[in-house]
Amino acid sequence: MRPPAISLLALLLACSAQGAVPYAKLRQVADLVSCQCGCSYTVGSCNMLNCHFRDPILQQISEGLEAGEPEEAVLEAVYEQYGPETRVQPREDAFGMLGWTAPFALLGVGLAAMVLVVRRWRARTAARSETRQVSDRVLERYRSQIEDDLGKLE
Amino acid sequence: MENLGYLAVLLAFLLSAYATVAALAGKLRRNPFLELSAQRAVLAAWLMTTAASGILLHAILTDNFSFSYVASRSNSDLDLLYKVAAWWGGQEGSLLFWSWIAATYSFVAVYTGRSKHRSMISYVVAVMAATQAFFLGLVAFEANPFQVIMSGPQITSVPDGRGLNPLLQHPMMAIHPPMLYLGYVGFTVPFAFALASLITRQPGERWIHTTRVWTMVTWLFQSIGILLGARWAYVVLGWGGYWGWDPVENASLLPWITGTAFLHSVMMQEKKGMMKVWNILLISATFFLCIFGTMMTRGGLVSSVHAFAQSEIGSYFVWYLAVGIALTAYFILTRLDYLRSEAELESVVSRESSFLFNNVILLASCFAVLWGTLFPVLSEYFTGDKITVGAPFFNKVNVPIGLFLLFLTGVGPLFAWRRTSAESLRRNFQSPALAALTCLAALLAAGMRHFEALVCFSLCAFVTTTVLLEFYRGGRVIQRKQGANLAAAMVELTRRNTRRYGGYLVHMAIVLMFVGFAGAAFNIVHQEEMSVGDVIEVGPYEFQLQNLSEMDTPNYFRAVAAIDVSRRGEFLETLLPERRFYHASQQPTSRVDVRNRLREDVYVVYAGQSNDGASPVIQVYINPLVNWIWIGSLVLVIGTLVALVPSRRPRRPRRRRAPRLREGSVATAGD
Repeated sequence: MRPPAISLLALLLACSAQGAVPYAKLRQVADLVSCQCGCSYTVGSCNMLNCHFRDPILQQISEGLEAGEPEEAVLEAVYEQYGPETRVQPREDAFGMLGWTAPFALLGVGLAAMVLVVRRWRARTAARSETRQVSDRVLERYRSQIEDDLGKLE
Repeated sequence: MENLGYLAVLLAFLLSAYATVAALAGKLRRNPFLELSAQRAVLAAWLMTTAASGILLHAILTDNFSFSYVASRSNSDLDLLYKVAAWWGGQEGSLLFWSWIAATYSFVAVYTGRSKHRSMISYVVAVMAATQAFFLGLVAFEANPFQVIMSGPQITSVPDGRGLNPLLQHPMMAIHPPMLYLGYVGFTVPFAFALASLITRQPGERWIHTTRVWTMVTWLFQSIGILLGARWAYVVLGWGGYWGWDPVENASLLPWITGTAFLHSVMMQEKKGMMKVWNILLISATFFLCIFGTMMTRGGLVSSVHAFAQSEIGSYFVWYLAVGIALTAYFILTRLDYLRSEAELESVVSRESSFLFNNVILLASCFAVLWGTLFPVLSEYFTGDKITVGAPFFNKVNVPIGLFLLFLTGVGPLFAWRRTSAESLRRNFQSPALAALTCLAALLAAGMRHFEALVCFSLCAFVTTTVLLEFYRGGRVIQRKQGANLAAAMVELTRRNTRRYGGYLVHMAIVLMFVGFAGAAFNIVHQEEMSVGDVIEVGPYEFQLQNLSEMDTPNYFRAVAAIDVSRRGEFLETLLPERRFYHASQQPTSRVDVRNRLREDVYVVYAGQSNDGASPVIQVYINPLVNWIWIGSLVLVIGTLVALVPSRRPRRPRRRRAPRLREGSVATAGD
């Protein structure tokens, strides 16, 4: 049995063939638009046949770029027309900034906390070493470890 | 048959619930008979789950289309391999598959650990059986794979099934989900041991050894599952990539990251009695992220190409997570005295600090992935707009974190335990730093200007030198002592401390993978409508469409494009990308063809046909260095297997014999 006619990206191909917008460029811009056909990929990467969502957006991007519009303007027009769910990056507002910075902020907090903990431990260790001998248990463990390491060297 | 299958599931559920209650009651009332009974209930639950799974599998293999699940996930012309894969190809079957793996793990963990961990095994049984009961409850009451097709009061059947999703009809898909499930479910075991040790305030380090070994085994399965999934995405989905930061992909990565952090920080507990709270938190987080990931795949929290049909079971997961997290938090908070550290950090420049840094970076990476995955939910809640962040966001956030982690992979082994002197630091850093700078200079001289790729390759040289020096220095000591050749000495070195040198092999695997990831910075993509005889040039290659052929099989129709690939006029080989149209499911897919080389992949997709149906649309990707990811995957598996083999201890002379280890402690090979 032959499958139904498979049509794909007619306009995109026409554009590529005419050399108006290089495919790589079109793909780069289209990869900043989320496809909503259910594929979970971007419009540039969607590989669904006859995708109802991808083809008109590719057409719009292609026409925009061909007309000399800046990438950002083309993308904003797409986001405006097809809704915020087509964005693949947080937008440039307060919540979007939080989106971008939260992972790094957490990393910074984590590193800062680590430095504080290390400093506190060091201070405590230094204070203890002045006032207290190493406990027998810890000493036994280190002795055992040293013996172990010496054994390995031999 | 369907009644027997359902009865087996029901009995397995009841037995698991009984095992939970009996284990707890037996322990609390000091009744050894109840405790033993709970252990036997675990065995019985495994038998019942196995019986239920066998019945479902039999129905699939014998094309019993009176089963609704079989009719919707299989068809008579499906290959045997994919019929077996249909077991986990749908929601109901996969939950049963999950339950069967959980039951198998419980059975193995309980019967291998009951004599070694006599005082806490009942709590291990309780935790594992409770998890098992949860999943079996879902199978029994919400996602029953034994439902039959009814026509009035009569059981009926359809002539043929709708078939397995075509995307899943790939050999990789027969291995990827079981591996991932073995990883996901397997993390229940170390979590159960950790929680049981916490509840019983377990003395000694023996339980840590058990937990670590189980974590390593399940981490290995999880790693294989993730990497097979990446490979499957690469060769099946046909978009030229291997990782799309899809929510379900991310869900599998989250517990892997925390599991990796645990495998590092647990060394601190074993060697120095430090980071006990942290380790309990990490292994708990790993387990709960596994459950969370399962909820994402099945509960409809986020949409994904990999997700099962959205269903109502998400709320059950929320409850399970809430209760589980609350109980774990309770036990941690009430046992903080037991978790008190036995030693403290003495210097920032030490192996201990590097583990701490490593953990912080890994957790930041985990948070970044989780944050991006949940961003659509959060953005919808706070702003009303559902913004699903994709690869551009994840790459921008995770690339710097990943590079920092790669740096730490190289730095860690250069630090000594306790503290590192400036002289030792200078000596240890000299060669790796020189290698990194040489690599950087060579790449700049060769014309490379991509900043992240330059950093990545230089760090790869740094880490590689570190690892090689570790092997070389250790090998030289043995070589001098035994007179063997250096290679044999390095093998002997590895055998003496499998955990440490297996770990280094895993670090090398990570380096190889990063080389592959960095190659993506230089990917080339091109798409063209071609007629027979047409030639296109992409990078240094020429592609000529030689012919188109079509073939019909019972399972699918296929259209194949034969494309000759040449490099600067020299013929290399003919690639045969194809498109398939599956009869049963009425779904089309593409099968890419790839020329794999260490330098780069030539990846060709038969993407479709032009509107008039006369010309095929061909996509060509040139993906440099991508094969190093798969080579790194193999090294990772080998390294982890080496680390799992017990070390061979060299015989010690009598006069230097070490004092006997305390009861309950475990001799661990150092790292």
